Amino acid sequence: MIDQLVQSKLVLLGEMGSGKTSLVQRFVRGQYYENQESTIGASFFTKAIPEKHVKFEIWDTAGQERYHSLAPMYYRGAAAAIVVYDVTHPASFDRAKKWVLELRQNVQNPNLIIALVGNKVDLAEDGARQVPEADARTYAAETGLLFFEASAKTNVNVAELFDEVADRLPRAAAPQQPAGGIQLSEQPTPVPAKSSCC
Amino acid sequence: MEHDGDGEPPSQQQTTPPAIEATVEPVSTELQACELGRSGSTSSMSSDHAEGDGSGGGTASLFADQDEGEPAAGSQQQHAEAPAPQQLATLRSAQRAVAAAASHQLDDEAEPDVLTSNPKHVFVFSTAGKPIYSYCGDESRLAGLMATAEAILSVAHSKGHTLKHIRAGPHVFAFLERPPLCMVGVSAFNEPPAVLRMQLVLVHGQIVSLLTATALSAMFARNSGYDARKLLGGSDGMLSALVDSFTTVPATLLGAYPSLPMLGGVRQALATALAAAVKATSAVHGLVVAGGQVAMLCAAPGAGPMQQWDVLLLLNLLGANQSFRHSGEAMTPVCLPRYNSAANLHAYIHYVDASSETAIVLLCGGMPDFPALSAARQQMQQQLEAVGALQAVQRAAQDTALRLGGREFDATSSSGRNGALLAVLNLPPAAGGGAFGATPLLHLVYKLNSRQQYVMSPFSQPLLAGGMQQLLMVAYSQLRASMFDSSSAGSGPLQRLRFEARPQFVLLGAVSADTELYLAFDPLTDKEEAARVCSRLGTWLGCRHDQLFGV
Repeated sequence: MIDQLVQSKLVLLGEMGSGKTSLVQRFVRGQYYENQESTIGASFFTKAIPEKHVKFEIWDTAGQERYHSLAPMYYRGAAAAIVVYDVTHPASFDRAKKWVLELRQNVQNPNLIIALVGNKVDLAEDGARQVPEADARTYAAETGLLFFEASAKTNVNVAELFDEVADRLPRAAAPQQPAGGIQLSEQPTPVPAKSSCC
Repeated sequence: MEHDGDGEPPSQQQTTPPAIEATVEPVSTELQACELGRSGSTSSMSSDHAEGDGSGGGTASLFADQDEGEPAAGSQQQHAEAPAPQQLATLRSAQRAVAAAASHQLDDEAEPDVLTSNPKHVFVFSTAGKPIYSYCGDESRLAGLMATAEAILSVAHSKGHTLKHIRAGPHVFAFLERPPLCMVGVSAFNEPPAVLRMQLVLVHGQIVSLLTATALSAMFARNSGYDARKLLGGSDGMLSALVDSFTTVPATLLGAYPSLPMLGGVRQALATALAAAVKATSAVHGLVVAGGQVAMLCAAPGAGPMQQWDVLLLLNLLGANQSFRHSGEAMTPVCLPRYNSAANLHAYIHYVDASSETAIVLLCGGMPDFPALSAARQQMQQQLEAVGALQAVQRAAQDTALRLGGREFDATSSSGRNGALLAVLNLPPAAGGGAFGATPLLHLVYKLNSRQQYVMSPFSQPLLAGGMQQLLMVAYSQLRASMFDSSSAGSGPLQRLRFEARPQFVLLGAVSADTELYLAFDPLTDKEEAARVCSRLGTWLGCRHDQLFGV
């Protein structure tokens, strides 16, 4: 039986070097590269989770400041956003808070799911942790975010993160998300339900 | 084929490096002027003034379509008279300062051997003197060196000069000022200063391609002490790959981009499919690249052809960033300085095959329509795979792979590339083809001026030995610079044919109205044999332009 998969646009945001690409590579391909190069611009991936009837269209954005102005192009029309910070790098947590604020201000979709992810917890065991889990968890609870501490390297909480996001996708609203596109108009107009077979 | 008759001896023993410098007429005049009051210093110096009015035309003939000297030098040209003695004295003291600073640098700084450890060095700083990029070492620890360079430039400025290069012992320091940035290139390879400056133009272009010239100026206009490294974060690798390429491929010294040699029908199929994709997506330019070479380039009607310097920057962007290869599809803003230095284009990049680095690239202005780009690319890919064209491109690329980002270039793996159209092994024996030992020919580079493209044979033994490729590239650049002497003032090459015997190889350069052919032979080859091979090879290559070059 072929499942009807709902296409959902998902965007990853966060400071340069926080591990966005590593998280995506782990989730999409099950791979981890030790010295992942900086992403240039943004990369596009798709990954289906058939048991959740979801096909994620993932935009992995570059963290460098010079690409900041392009971010709206990628988060506009998104069903979910994953904001990543590095638990060993406090500045990246501050940057993550700014991303959350920007998303709240600029995205009109009231059902936008935002997940806050503290990456590189494998390093936390060595005492390199700089962002206490409690602080981040409190912040996430106050602002209504999903929260995970994850490690792309040791594959901790990566699948759980995307599963949880998939579960939260509003069933009714999801088909309204345009298929993997960049909205050309300022205000996304709902397109007729569009779904495809896997 | 005959040697040109303008009195230049056809053979020239080229063992002492300074001979190159001596052939450049205006510079040597300046050297004599410097000589008059010199006190034991071995350095020499030349400025805009000294190179005089002829230099513009001269460099223009060497790099037929560069904007060399356009913004910075233009305003200085009215000072046409020779520098006054006191100005020379100032320049000499500045030059002593750099020599002193260079040696001081060695004592003071934490990274003592930045100039001596590597024969080539490039660094970039803002006009306010803030370090931005350094090829060797950590740029923030080279503040002293950059401040010295800044001081030397301002001494020259205060006298109404624009400093182009300084010779200090074995090192040539080339300067390029493109406010708000200054680029300095240091080379101990004895590369021609004009070539060094062209390399700096490309380094500047790569920085502009990341930020746009408008954004750069705006940034520094707001705050002249701005630390541009914040915005360039993560792009050091790209700049270093570009600098590496200067001595591994002849693109910069020829002013041409590498074309992928392929059999004729394949290119036709690529052209049709690419033109359709460009049309469907309202893209400005479309490219199929493979193995660091351009298989096909297509411009939208009215957009004008993409300039070779822009193509080189784009190739470096692709070659130096592994991340494109790992992702399915990618989008990135990129500014092509020659096309429009004020705005970004959006590049849609899809790697068809990561191992041969075969990719389809579509460049659009305005808001990109990702689904349309993706769909057009898929259709194009299906169409090309159905006729086997993409597979042919991948095979050709695997045979010849020469990447512009030379840092990852693995010379040892190229020994197995026997299928390449231009491998010396595969050339007809009459035109110098054959195995090493059976033919004197070692390597060839062929440029077609009208299309701004070049092709070269993959490296084979004995050029695979460490450092030989670098040596060869520098030798080609010196050979070419001697042929396009700056005193010839824009009227084409000074010599049509030049033969140089060096310890490692014999070089022959042949320049015609539309082509340039540079050959390396084994060191025992005599003039007659080299000329014979060159003549036959020239004819053979001349009949195959459609296979060697894209439109």
